[in-house]
Amino acid sequence: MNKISTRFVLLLAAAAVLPLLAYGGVSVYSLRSGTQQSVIDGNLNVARRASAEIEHYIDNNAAILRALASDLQNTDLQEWQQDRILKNYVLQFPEFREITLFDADGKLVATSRVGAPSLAFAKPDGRRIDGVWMSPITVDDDLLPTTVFTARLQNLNQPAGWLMGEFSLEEMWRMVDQIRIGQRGFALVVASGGRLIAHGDPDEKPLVAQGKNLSGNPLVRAVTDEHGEAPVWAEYESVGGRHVLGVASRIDPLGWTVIVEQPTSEAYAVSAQLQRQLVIAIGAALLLTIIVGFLWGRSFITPIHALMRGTRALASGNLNQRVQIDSMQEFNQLGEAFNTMADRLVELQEDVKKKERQAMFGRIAAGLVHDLSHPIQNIGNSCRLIVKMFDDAEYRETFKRTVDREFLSIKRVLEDLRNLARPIPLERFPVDINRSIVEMLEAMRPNGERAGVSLEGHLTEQPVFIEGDVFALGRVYRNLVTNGIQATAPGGSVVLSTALVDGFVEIRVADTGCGIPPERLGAVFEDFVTTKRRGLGLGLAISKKIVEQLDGTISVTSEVGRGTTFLLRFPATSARPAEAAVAAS
Amino acid sequence: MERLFCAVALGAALFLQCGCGQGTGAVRASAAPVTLTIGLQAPTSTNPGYGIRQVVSLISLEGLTEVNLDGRPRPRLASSWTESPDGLTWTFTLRSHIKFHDGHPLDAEAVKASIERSMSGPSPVPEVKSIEAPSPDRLIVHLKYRSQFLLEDLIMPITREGKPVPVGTGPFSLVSLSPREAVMKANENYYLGRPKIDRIVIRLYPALRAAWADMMRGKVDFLFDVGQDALDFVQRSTSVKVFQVQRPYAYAVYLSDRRPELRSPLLRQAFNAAIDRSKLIAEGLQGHGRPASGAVWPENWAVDPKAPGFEYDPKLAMQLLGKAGIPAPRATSSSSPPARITIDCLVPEGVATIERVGLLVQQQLRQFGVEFHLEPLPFNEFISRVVAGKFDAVLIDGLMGPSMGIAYWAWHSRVPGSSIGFNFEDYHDALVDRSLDAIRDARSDDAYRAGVAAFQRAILKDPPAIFLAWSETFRAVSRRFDVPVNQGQDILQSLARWTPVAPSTVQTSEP
Repeated sequence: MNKISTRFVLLLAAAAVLPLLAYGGVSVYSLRSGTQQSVIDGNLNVARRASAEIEHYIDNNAAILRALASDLQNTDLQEWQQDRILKNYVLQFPEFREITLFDADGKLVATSRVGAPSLAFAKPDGRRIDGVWMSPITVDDDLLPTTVFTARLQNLNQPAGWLMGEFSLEEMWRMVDQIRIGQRGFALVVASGGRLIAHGDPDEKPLVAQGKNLSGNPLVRAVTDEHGEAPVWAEYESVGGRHVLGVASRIDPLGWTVIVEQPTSEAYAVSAQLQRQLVIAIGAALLLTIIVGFLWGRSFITPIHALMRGTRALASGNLNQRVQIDSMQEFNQLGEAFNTMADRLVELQEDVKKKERQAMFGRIAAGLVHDLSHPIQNIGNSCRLIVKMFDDAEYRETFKRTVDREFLSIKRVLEDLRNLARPIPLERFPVDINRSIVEMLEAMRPNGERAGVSLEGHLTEQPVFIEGDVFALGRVYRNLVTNGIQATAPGGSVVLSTALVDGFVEIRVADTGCGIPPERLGAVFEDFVTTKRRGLGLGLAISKKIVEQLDGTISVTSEVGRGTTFLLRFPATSARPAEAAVAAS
Repeated sequence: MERLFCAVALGAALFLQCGCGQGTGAVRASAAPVTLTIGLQAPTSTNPGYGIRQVVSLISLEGLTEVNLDGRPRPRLASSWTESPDGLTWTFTLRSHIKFHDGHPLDAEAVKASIERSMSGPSPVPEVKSIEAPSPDRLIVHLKYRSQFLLEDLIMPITREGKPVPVGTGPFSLVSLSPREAVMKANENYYLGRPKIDRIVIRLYPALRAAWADMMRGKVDFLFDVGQDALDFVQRSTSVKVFQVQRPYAYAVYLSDRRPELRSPLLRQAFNAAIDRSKLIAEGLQGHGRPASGAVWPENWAVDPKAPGFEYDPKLAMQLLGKAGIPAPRATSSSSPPARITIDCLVPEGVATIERVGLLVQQQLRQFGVEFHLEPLPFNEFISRVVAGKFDAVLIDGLMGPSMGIAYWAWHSRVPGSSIGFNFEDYHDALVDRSLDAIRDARSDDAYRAGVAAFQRAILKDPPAIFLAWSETFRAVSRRFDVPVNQGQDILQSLARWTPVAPSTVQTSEP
């Protein structure tokens, strides 16, 4: 039963589960790699767009200063007018914390500040953006990063002054703050040299105030090496200690780098969720497959199991066993065929029994006729003679012995019949086997002599004992010896021998008779089975029954034409008969 | 100058009082001393009414009373008081078991000495005639005349003499003081329970931006004022909590009566009609403010909400300028712009918000031919000029509430029995004087309300200033501290109950 179940499970695994698992593994891998690339591409687009926006923002503000410079040059404005224009510009464009105008020699002309300007004139340096210089990032009085835009004023192509604007990077922060990916993805702006000048994460802005240098950041290094040519991304530990997916884009005209960082947990959240869903789906499919397979398999295997149970029951003799199969048509038919077969077997068995009964009755009748007719005939003959020879005292004595003997024979036949129907009452005591055999040989020797068969005993030197019933054993000996005498032609012999082998007492009764054909050898111990042409055939059956009641075994070996040997085997005992018992026996 | 700083100190103390709550007895987060570092942008001044000394005073000193945001007084060191039927005798019962920082008990004699000491110069309590201390916990104050302002005048700190600052009873006492830093320690015997913070360091910064930058660097726990430019950044940070503080301060241009052209009520009305306050708030204060349509704090319990106020009306402004006899703009020289009138306005140097508000006022008045010239001055020089009355106009973010006593000190032409008022512009208007006297003498709430309504209307006719905007202040505190918030009160008032939060329990939230 287990084997077919096991095979069925293996079949299910091979046909459904393993392919499904393989499909799941490939799907998860493809999903993960595909989503990762998709996220990287998306974030890179954001970073590039942010770079473009920041560059545009800077350009715009440079343009504002340039436009202001254009307004101021060649217009012969009074200082108060210039002052007013500068103040209006600062109010209008908060990106400039201060705008101050210097003449060609660097002397203060006007400022947007109320009071003295904080900007001091210095020759412009840094990058040029459409004619406006943007100074390298420095720190101001508050130790925050800042930069200064400077535009040159000209009058008739001659230097006419300098317009300087202190750029408020905090205003740029607001733009950077707007660049978000998901809930926790932010943008960073790193100036040339690695100084962090803007961070979109409100909680990471302190890094800007702390003057954090990110030149060690893998993306900053990569962008510097690649010059912005190849897409740059990496997974790394951010300054804030989070594991992030970072992508970078370079703002070439400014030498700045825009990094967009997103925690990997969030960046790959969709992928992870899809993976989870896929795994759940595959798991559910597996479970469903197993459940369906199990149920279907059970419906397939159950009828087989039922048939196997039925077959075993029939084999064990339970012909009343039937199978109930309510499944597929083929199994139904098989079940019905099984039940029909069982019904037919019952009928056959009844038929056989009936015939056996009839045969047995015939055998019993014949046996009874055989076993009883001889004594009855002897008694009848004796009765007819007694009438004639009643006065002969010697004959009366002979008559008495004859009638007693024949009645005893009749009684034995009847006892045998009775012993078949009910257990033989035994009383077990330690029995000296050798002694019981000697006594039996002495009693049977006249019978042997009449048949011309010699009875011999080959016994162990030391007495051997078993727990037995001496009378029952005597009956067994008598049956076996009688059979031996009857099967042996005159001049033959019947030999009884004993031996002690491995704690067992072995008794062999061997004759030199005609032997038993092999095909009948297996049935010699059955009731009403005999190799003789007459008789009930109960002797060996009763002997076997007695031997087994005494915890012994009986077996037979025979060779046709050479003789037969019966082997009795009993557990030896160390107990010895009490003297009283010996005396009594 | 003395008058000014006393008045400003009184005014500031009126609102920024601390330690009014009962101690919570919360478990200290750790055994290490808990230090709170306050970042403050203020001018460097030795005047106790300004800068670091002012904040030290607010934290360490307490008065007999304090004033609610609606202008009503409430007990502080005094537990209760009664007024005689004629209003000339007030009996105060003092809280028990209060000690000065030097261990001296606070009793009626100590309070009497403190008040009398302040009366030796220009008196902050001009209505007080004499004081008695019949028992340790009873103080009797006799007045020269009825005054509804007595209770708010008595917010003046009760102190014992000490250096560098007087000795008070507040939750923290001064340990050391330098021009740029003050160190204070918890008052172990504070009558409302020992503060959970062991030590306070007040650090002075030249600009709000510098203080904010240091907060980002973790060097400041409590940003006293959040600059308008940085407000949105601070608000988005999850490591800092921002508190909006309603305070009765208003941006206003105080006009001097000493300059004859500026004395014209019509001209002043014109100036007030020429200001687009909404635009000014939007562009100058990042939207954080309320238009100031008058001189009375809008949350004052007695304010007449139906009283008319100043509104932006350019047409009316032009008409009023004409009626005031101000000629059309004319250029006096090529070096100066043509103008109907030129006003020199003093502003304290280096205060970015005032600078920006001033520029916007300048821009708006220019449209009416008024040249509004801003003159920034270093703080001490600025104060000297203001106190001396040497100005056409002054632009400040000044105290204008919550009680009417402030208006009395600021706008009454003559404070009886004292010269401590801060009517530096020499403003005088009979109607305003009468309405303020009516408030002072009021015998009932209705009379008080009637006086306030009259004052509101009188101010409208003859405005002493160009009223711009009620300012809003934001304070930022690191989430390392749990800050109890009482509705309508400055968080500074609960400083004694601030609790340090263990690092592991500092709450942050997603932006």
